[in-house]
Amino acid sequence: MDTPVIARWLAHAVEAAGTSHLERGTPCQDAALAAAGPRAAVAVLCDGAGSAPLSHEGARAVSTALRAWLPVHHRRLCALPLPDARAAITLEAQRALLERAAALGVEVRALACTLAFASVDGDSALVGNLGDGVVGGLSGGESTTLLGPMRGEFANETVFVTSRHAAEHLQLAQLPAATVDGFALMSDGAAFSLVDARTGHLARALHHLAAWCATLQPSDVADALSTSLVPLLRSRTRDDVSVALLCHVRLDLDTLLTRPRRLQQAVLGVGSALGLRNRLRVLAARLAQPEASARRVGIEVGLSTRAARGHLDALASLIVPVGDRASDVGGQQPTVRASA
Amino acid sequence: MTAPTLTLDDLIINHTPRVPVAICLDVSGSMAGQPIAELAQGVHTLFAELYDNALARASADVAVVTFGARIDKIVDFGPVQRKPFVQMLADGLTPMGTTVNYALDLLEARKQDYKAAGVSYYQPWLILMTDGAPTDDITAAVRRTAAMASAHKLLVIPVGVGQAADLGVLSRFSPQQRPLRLRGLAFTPFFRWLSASIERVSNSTVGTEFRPFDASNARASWAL
Repeated sequence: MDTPVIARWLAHAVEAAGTSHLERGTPCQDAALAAAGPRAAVAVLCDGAGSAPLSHEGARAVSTALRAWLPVHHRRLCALPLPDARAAITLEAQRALLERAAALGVEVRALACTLAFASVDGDSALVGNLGDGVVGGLSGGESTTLLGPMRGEFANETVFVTSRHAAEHLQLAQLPAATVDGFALMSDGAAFSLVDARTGHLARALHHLAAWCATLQPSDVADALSTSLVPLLRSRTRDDVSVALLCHVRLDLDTLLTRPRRLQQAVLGVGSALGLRNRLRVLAARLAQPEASARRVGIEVGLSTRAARGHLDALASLIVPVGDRASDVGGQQPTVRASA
Repeated sequence: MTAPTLTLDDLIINHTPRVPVAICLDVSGSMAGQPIAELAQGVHTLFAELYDNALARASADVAVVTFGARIDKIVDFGPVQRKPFVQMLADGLTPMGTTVNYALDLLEARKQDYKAAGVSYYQPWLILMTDGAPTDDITAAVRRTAAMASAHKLLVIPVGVGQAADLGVLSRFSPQQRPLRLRGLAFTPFFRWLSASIERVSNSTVGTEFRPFDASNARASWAL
């Protein structure tokens, strides 16, 4: 491919109560959040401890806090020695639990939960896992477990954010974002059917979902997660089943134009049909004349210079020039450089 | 456009985590007559109930060892059968120490099998049921079970049958769970309770503190 591509991270998350919770009318103890922008993305998944009465509150508190905190501190964390980064992340998660416990008037251990996350900012990615969840990576049609579950000898033992020496148990890894097409976070209930326990390979379902992120409108991917994947996962376990996906979508203009309008809007970051039409016209003009000024582009597409500049600014973070594409280093398996 | 669908073929089939259970049953001469018949019926009930529960059937991994004139592994670990061949003959003494050591060795070997096959497992269970007192040296067996139970590496469920059962001896095997005495010959309620307990642990989620030996729960069905 010798044309520039438009690249953007897209995020999806589903949290679903297991059949045991549904039958008892108790809440889902998982919390999964994900958000994405042109060059940055974050996903956090927490699984409340079965023995902790308010662990769903803990999972929600930690995921919400880390969802906001990780993007702000991503660069700093990547620059820190890993032990320091582990300590900082664990401290932030524990701070969120302490605040929530104080608000609820309960001991913090009542909110015990696990933590898994993936954070991307530009060319660097940071993944972490504390507990029995799984962080997987997809790349070039291949997939692997980046950070596996941390269990004791027995199946129902693991470590939590509230555990002693939690920071030392936090598995943490930095890797070049360019080596990964997507990340998948899974609670242990979901991982039971989505990760091969022996090889670490991820299930075909996750490959399909990642591919659909680049071909279907986002609402269809969300529907596939909640109405197709979740029932399948529930048929295999009574545990909660939650998944968060970050997918790096890379499309050249011709391919983008064949995609559903809602996907075009999501990739180009516009909300309206008119906005999409104008952004596509500006994009075509920019690709045809990379050095053209905003005024020139505006004249060509019939927009004011100010409007053209707005579109060009938005597109600047989406257009990946030839020779600078993530796919140029594709085929590499994502490798974990360090972990706990 | 409607959302695409996934199928079960798009998922991965992993082994269900196992609950290894070794059941040691006293079949010494004093169990002759109705007690051994009731015991055999209870064991059949256990396997039938495990078999009829899909989750328990996938998780339970049960071996049954009898001790009397001989120490016999009458049911080996493996897939649960609805009606395994169970033959019990009440005869002989009560070699409890040797039997418990043998059962612990079986459990240890089974754990190694799991590890080799990449199968996760729950804390092993040892059920020890007797109507009397040991006739061999139990020192080593007591030391092993007590150490494992204290380290949460083994769950011991000691049960006495009849008034002659020495609960004091049984308690030495289980420093954390006090032994209970079976109500009459309520073997079938006991094994029904055991099946339900296995099903519950196989259904437990990570972090769940599982306490199968709830005395009030046991007294409601099978214990004095």
